[in-house]
Amino acid sequence: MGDLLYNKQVMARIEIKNLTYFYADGETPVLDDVSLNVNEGEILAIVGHNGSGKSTLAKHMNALLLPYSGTVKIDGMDTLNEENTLSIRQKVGMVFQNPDNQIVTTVVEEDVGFGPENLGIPTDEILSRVSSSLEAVRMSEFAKNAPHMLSGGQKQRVAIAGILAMMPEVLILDEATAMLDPKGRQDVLNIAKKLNTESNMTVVMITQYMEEAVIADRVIVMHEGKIVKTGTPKTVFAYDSDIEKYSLELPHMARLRDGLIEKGIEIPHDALLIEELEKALCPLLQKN
Amino acid sequence: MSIVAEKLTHIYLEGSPNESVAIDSIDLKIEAGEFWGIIGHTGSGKSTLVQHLNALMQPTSGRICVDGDDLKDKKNRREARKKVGLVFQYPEYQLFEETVLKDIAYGPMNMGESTEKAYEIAREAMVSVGLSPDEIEGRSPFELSGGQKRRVAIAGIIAIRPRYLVLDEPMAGLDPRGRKDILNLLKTLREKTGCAVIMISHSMDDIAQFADHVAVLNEGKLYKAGSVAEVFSDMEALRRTGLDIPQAAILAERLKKQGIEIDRSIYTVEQMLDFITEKTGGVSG
Ligand SMILES: Nc1ncnc2c1ncn2[C@@H]1O[C@H](COP(=O)(O)OP(=O)(O)O)[C@@H](O)[C@H]1O
Ligand SMILES: Nc1ncnc2c1ncn2[C@@H]1O[C@H](COP(=O)(O)OP(=O)(O)O)[C@@H](O)[C@H]1O
Ligand SMILES: [Mg+2]
Ligand SMILES: [Mg+2]
Repeated sequence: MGDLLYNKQVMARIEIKNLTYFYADGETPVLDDVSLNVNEGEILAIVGHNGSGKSTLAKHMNALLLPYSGTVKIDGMDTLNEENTLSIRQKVGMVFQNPDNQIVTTVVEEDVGFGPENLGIPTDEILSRVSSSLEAVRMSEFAKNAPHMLSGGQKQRVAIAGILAMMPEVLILDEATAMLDPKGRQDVLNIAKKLNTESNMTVVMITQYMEEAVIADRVIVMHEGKIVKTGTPKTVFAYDSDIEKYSLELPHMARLRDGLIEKGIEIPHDALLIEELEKALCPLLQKN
Repeated sequence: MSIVAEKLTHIYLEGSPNESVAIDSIDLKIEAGEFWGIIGHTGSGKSTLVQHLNALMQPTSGRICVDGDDLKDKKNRREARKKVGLVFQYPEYQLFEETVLKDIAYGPMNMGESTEKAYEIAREAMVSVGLSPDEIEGRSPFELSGGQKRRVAIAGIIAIRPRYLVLDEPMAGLDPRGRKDILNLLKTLREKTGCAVIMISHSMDDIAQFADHVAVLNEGKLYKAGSVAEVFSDMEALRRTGLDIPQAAILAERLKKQGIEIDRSIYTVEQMLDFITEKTGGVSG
């Protein structure tokens, strides 16, 4: 346990130093001197207003975009060195918001095999990867189906399987749950959590839902191209947080907690989960 | 005044091998001035249903009446499009004019208002969605932020001054501030104009807080319809259809299991806050 914690703090998979980026010369930078490590085996949530630079930052993590100044290194490999691009893309897989734009073929299993095929992986190996990836997202029974007949949540699971088949070590979900219904969202979250706990996959999860950020080990708040806050969900969403200043909101249970504290009711200032509120409230309510 | 659906059914590609029954015998009555939330899994028929409300789609069978007029009649359909404003999902992709003002004025002009009058209405609509005409009317819609574009698109529908405002997932993709802004905007608009709001959303917490009625669709059928309290008090039913339960309702359920007596239905943070404050002796804040 101690070792795991140690690893989580020390081994940086992605090292970003003083990253600045512009889409067009002379404009205000979209990323402004951003420094950040993504650590081995952690779930890192990135939150921030529309246009704060989250997707731009994520695209730097697998060399889809290159720094204007500063450096981005994946396992020590600099993204600016083109020789590294292929291995970086293999290590860092990315799932985007719209499942429809990520499906390229007409059969689910072909779609999942598309990535590894492009990497030049031998056929036997592809087949076994396709079947294990589909199993990981619980979509094996749809292997022969047409992707466009699937629901949004199912398509997004296929997109994740396609990324898993490339055996990445870091999985980036860029608002991958935004277009899904509650069950689809929960499915994607569960898969991310399972990959993290069972295969020690490092997960970067960009989201507009603060309830989702609560499951992360660490939360980063972006605002106008800068990182303005970093901490565990408990510190970022603690009582008296100024999160609303950044166009964000507290998770519902944190909002309830703050309301209760303001009324003079005793609740731990970092309670965040339904269980924690239940535990704090039970003795108070049973007394009365 | 009301919108009434009777045995409303829509079948896509009827008779073909890919035939799909999107909505099946739906009976629903929405009174003027009400705030309805429409919820259901992806593919449950929500978008298909709401596109019938302003006659954008015609039923395969059954019927739909707006203020008593059956939309089978072409003349009634034209009337219904003035009364029922529909904001599509991701409506910002449908902005097309070169300035914000022209885009918003398009609806009223199309309905026969003079340019001058249409611009006046458009400016009012801008103000009601929280945009400043002075700052924004001359700009191209394409250079605005996501949240601003969404508001321009909603203003374009508000400008036809609908009696029923229908929105298909209006908060999708927005940040928390943007979502809250839209919700507050709908609330204020309804208070000011008395229009009904019919909103599709996947956020049970938002529906619990803002709507007064809910319709739950499941596989094309109307699974449940009623007041927010009725629908959210049957949590098992919501779970069965794969939907979320508002967090405050889950907490209430767990407290009850611990033997705590809860004398009312609780599904919003505010209700929970009131309940606990009363119960613990109301230390006032
Ligand atoms: N391809 C692009 N060309 C020009 N500007 C862009 C492009 N993509 C994003 N931007 C701008 O960069 C800023 C940050 O965008 P983005 O990284 O997508 O933010 P987020 O993902 O946090 O919503 C925004 O102002 C956006 O308009
Ligand atoms: N244009 C279309 N052609 C054929 N089938 C469609 C079309 N639009 C929707 N459907 C089908 O109708 C059903 C209901 O879809 P929709 O009304 O979009 O649901 P929701 O908005 O609840 O996600 C789904 O099974 C969907 O696949
Ligand atoms: Mg983005
Ligand atoms: Mg829909």
